[in-house]
Amino acid sequence: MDEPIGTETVEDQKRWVAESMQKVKQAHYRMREEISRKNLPGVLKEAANMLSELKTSLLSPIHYYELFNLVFDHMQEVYIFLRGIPGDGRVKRQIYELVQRAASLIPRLYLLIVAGVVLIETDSVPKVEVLTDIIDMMKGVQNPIRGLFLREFFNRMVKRVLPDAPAKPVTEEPKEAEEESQEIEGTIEDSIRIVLRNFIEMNKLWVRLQYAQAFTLIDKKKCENERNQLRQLVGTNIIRLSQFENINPEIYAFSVLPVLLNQIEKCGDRIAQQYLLDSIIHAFPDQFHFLTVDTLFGVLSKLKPGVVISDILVGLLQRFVTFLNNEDTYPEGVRLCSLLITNSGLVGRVKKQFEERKLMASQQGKEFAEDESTLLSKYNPEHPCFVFHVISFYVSDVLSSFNSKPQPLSITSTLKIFIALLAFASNVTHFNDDTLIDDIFTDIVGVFHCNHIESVCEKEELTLLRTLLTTPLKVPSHIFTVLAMRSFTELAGFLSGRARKDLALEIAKTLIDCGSENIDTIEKVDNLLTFLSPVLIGKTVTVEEIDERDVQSIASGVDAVVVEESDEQLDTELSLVARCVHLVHTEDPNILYGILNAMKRHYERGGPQRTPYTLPPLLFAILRHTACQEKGGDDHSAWTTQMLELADQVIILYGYVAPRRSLRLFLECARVADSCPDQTKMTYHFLTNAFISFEDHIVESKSQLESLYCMIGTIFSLTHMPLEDYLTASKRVCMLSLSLMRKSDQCKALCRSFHLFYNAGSLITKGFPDEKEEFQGKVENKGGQCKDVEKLLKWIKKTAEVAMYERSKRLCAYQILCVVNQCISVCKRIERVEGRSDNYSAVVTEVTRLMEEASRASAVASHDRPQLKGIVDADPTVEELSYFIRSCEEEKNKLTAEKTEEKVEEKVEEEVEEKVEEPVEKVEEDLKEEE
Amino acid sequence: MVLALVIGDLHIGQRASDLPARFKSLISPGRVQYILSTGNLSGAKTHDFLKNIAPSAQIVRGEFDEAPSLPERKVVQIGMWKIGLVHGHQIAPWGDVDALTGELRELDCDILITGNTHELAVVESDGRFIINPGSATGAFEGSTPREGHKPSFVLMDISDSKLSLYIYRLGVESSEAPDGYAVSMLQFSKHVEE
Repeated sequence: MDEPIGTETVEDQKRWVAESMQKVKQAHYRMREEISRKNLPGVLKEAANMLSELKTSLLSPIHYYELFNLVFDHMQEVYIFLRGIPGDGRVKRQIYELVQRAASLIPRLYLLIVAGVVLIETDSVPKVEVLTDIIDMMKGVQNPIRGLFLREFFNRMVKRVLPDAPAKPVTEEPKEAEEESQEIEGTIEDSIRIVLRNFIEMNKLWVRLQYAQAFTLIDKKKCENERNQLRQLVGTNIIRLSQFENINPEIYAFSVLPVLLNQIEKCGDRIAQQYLLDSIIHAFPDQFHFLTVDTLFGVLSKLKPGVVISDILVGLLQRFVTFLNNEDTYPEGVRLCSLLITNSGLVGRVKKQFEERKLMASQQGKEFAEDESTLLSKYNPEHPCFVFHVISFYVSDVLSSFNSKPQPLSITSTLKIFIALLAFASNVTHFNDDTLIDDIFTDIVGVFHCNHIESVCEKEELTLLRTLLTTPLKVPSHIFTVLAMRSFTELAGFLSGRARKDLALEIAKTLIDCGSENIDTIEKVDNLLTFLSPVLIGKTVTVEEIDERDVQSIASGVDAVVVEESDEQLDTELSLVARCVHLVHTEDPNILYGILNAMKRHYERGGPQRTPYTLPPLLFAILRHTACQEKGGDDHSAWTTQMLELADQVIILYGYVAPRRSLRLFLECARVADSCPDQTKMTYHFLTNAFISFEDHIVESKSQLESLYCMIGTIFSLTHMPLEDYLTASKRVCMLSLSLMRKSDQCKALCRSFHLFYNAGSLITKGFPDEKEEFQGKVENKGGQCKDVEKLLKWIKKTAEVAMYERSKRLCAYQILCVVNQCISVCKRIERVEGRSDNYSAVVTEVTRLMEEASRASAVASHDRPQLKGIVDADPTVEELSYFIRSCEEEKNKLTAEKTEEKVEEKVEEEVEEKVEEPVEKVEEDLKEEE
Repeated sequence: MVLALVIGDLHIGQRASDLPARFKSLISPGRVQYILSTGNLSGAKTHDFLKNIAPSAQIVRGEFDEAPSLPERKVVQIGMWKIGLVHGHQIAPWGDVDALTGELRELDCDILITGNTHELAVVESDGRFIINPGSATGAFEGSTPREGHKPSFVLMDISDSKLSLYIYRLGVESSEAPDGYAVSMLQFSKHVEE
C-alpha cells in the first residue's frame, strides 16, 4: 500500500517517477510494435498497460504532471492509429464499445476519451451525446489528482471537436430530445454546458485536495503549494469558454457567469475563489464585464475571509480603464453602462441610500445638504463622469459591505482599491471634475475612521498612501485645488514623518516641472507652505519613524531623536523646495508683499541649518518683483520701501548664518534700490552694509579681490546716487584696494577702481548686428554723471606706482600694460562724451608716459630671471608680452592720431557743450576735496 | 565642423525655478562637442547637467558660484579660433564694450565669451568678437528691465575660418518662432593675416 504522506523525501519522489516513466516507455515500445502490426487488441492492451502507471497515488502533483505529459504524447499515437482504421462510423462505434472492456478504471476512461473523439470525428453520431456520455463516466474517478488529470486529458482531446456554432435563434432553450434528433453537430450552448460541467467537477476535486490531505499546519502549507501548482488545470476551462468564437455578452451574462460564480461561491475555498475570479476577469473581453458588473460585484462580499478583494477589483478596474481609454470603444462603454443601470435598478438603490442618509441626518438633527436631483444627474448617461459614478457606486457598495464584517478590509487592500479607482477617474475623466478627487479622498478618510486607524506607519501602506495622494497632483493645473481640499489635508495627516517629507518633495517637483507662475494668493501660499514645512522647517521625529540604523540611540534610552540630515541631502531637498518661490506671480503689489512676507516668516522657522538654502532665492524673488513692478501710483514709493526693507530683513537673517556671502546680496539690493525712484536712502544703506560686511567678514585675499570687483561694478552702475555719495563710495573702494595685502592684487583692484571717477559715456553690449535688431550690438548707458578727471588722473598715477613696485621686470611691464589697457578704455569714454578735450589729452599723455615705462621694463625683461614665476598669478611669456605691448601701442597711436575733418567739427561742438558744465562741476569737486 | 554651446548665468535655484522646458528639450547630450559656459550656474546639479551635455565642458566661475575649483578665465583653441572665456564681473565697467575689447587685447583672443549682464549681445570689431549669450533662464539681475530678461543662449558652429552663430531666444513674438523660441543666424569669417 502507499506510504504515509509526509515521510517521503524528494529522492523518493524522483525515484518513483523515474520507475513509472521507465514502465511507460517499455509499454510504449511494445505498443509501437503492435501498431506496426496493425493489431488492434494488442495496441489497446499495451496502451492500457501504459495508462496503468497513472493509477499511482505516490507522486506529488508536479511529478504526476511530468508522467502525465509523457503518457499524453504517447496517446496521440493511439489516437492516430484508431483514426486510421478503415471503415465508417459503425466500425468506430465498435471500437468505442471495445475499449470499455479494459479491466481497470483509469485506462478504460483514457481509452474511452480517445475512442470517443475518433467516433465523433466520423460525423455519424451526435457529438453531444458521446461527450455527455464520457463526462458521466468520468465521475467514477474521485481521487483529486487522478481525476483532475483525467479531465485535463479530456479537455485537451476534445478541444478540436467541441461545437462552436451559434445558438439557434428560434428556440431559446432547445429541448434535449429535439437537439438530439435534429442536430448532430450541436451548438455553442452544448459546448458551454459540457465545459461548465467539467469545470464544476474539476473545481470540486481541486478543492477536495486541500481537505483530503491537510491535517497539520505544515501539511496545509504544503497542500496550498501543491494546489497552486494544479490551478491552471481548472483555469483551462475558463480560458476554453472565452475562446469560443460565438460566445457573446448575452450568453456570457446569462449562461456562463452565473454558473461560474455560483460554483465559486459555493465551493467556499479561499484559493479557488481568488484564482478563479482573477481568471474570469482576465480571460473574458472587457465589454462582457461591463454588462455583468452587478453580478460580479455581488459575489465579492460573499467570499471567504482571506480572499484579497483588492487584487480582483484592481484587475477589473484596470480592464475598464483600457476599454474606456480607447476613443473607439469609449461610446460602447457608456452604452453598456447605461444598459447595466437599466438592468440592475441602480438608480433605485441610489435613491434608497439617499433616503436613508436623509433619515439618519434628521434623526441626528444634522442639516442635510445633498440634493436629490444633483445626485441622480450623476447617473444620467449624459453626465460627463457618468461611467465613473456608476463604477464608483459599485466599489463603495462593496467596501461598505465589508465594514459590517468581523474582519474588515486591511489598510493595504483599501488603499489599493482607491488607487485603482483614482487611476480610473484620472484616465477616464482626466479629473475634469474636482469633486471626484474630493469624494474619493473623503471616502478613504471615512474608511480609516471607521476602522479606527490613526496613522499609517507600515512601509507598504505608506508607499500606497503616497501614491494615492500624489496621483491627482500629476495634473499641474489641479495642484492648488487639491492642496486646498480638506480631505487632502486630512488624508495627508495619516502619513508619518519621512513620508510627509517625500510628499512635500513630490509637490515641489510637480510645481517646478510644470513651471507656470501660478502662486497668486496668500491662501495658496499658506496651503503650499503647510505641506512643504516638513522640508522647510523639519521636525523632531518620534522613535517609530526612524530607520533601523538608529536603533542604537533608542537602546540608549532616547525617546525622541532629531534625525540630522546630511548636508548633501539638505542641499538637494531644500534647493528643490526653495525654487518654488520663483513661481509667485501677481499683479497686486500688496498681495505680493503678503505672500513674500509669509514665506520669510515661514523660512525663518527652519533655523540656521536650513535658511542658507531658502533665503537667497526668496531675496532674489523680492528684488525681482520690486524692480519689475509698474512704477507710478501714490503708494508705489511706500510699497517699494516696504519691499526693500523686507529684503533687508532677509539679508540680515542670512547674514547670521552666512556672513561672508551676504555682501553680494547687499550689492544686488543696492542696484535694485538705485533703479527705483526716491530710494537713494535705501541705496546708500545697502551700500554701507556692503562695506561693513567687507571689513568685518571678508578676510581671505582671493575673496577680498573678488568682492572688490563686485563692489566696483555695482557702484559704477549706481547712476541715481547723488554725486557726493557716489564719490565717497568710490574713494572708499580705492582705499580698500590699496589695503589689499599683495601688490599684484592691489594693482588689479586699482585698475578697475579708477574707472569709477569717469562713469559717463559707457557703451554697453546689447543685441546683435542684424537688420531687424534695434541695437547693433551696443547701447549707450546714459546714466553716468561723474566726470572727475582730476581724481581719475591721480588714481591712475597711484595705480602705476603700485604696478612699478614689482621687482620682476617682466611682471612689472605686464602690470603697467594692464594699467595702459584700462586707460585706453577710459580715453574712449572721455572722447565719446567730450571729444578730444583737454581732459582727453591729459589722460592720453599719461598713457604715453606709461607706454614708455612699459617698453623700458620689457627691454630689461628678456634678461629677467624666471625664479619669481609662481608667486604671482599672471606671468606672461616674452612673446605674449611683446604682443601686448604692440597692441597697446597701436591703440595708443589711434588715440593720438588726428581725426578726419568731419569728426573734428563734431568734436568742437561737443567740447563747447561740455565746457559749459565743466567748470561748475570742477569747482564743486575741488571744494569737496579741500574739505 | 565643430559645434559649441555657449550658455551661462542660469542661476537655477537662487533666481530661476528651472531651465525653460523648451530649452531643456533642445539642450540634450550628444549634440555638441563643446560647452562654453560663463558660469553662475548655482548649484552642483546644474554643473553636472552641463558636464553631461558635451565631451568637453569649459566653465568659468561667476561671482555666485560656490565651487572653488572653477577657474576665473579660460582660453580654448577650437580649430583656427582662439576663444577666451570669462564671466565678466571682474571687468569694470560691467558689460562695457571698450573694457571688453581691452580684455580681448589682454588675452589675445579672436572671440571673447562673457556673461554677467544677462543681456544677449554679439559685437564685432576688426574681425574679433564679443559674445554674451545672455541668461538661459532669463534670470533677474540688478538692472533688469521691467519686462525682464528673455531667456537666451548661443550655438556656435566653427568650420575653418567660418563662424556661424545661432541665437536662440524665448519669448520673442515673431512669425518665425512657431515653437515659442526664435533662432537668428549670423555668419562671420576670420580675418586672416597674410
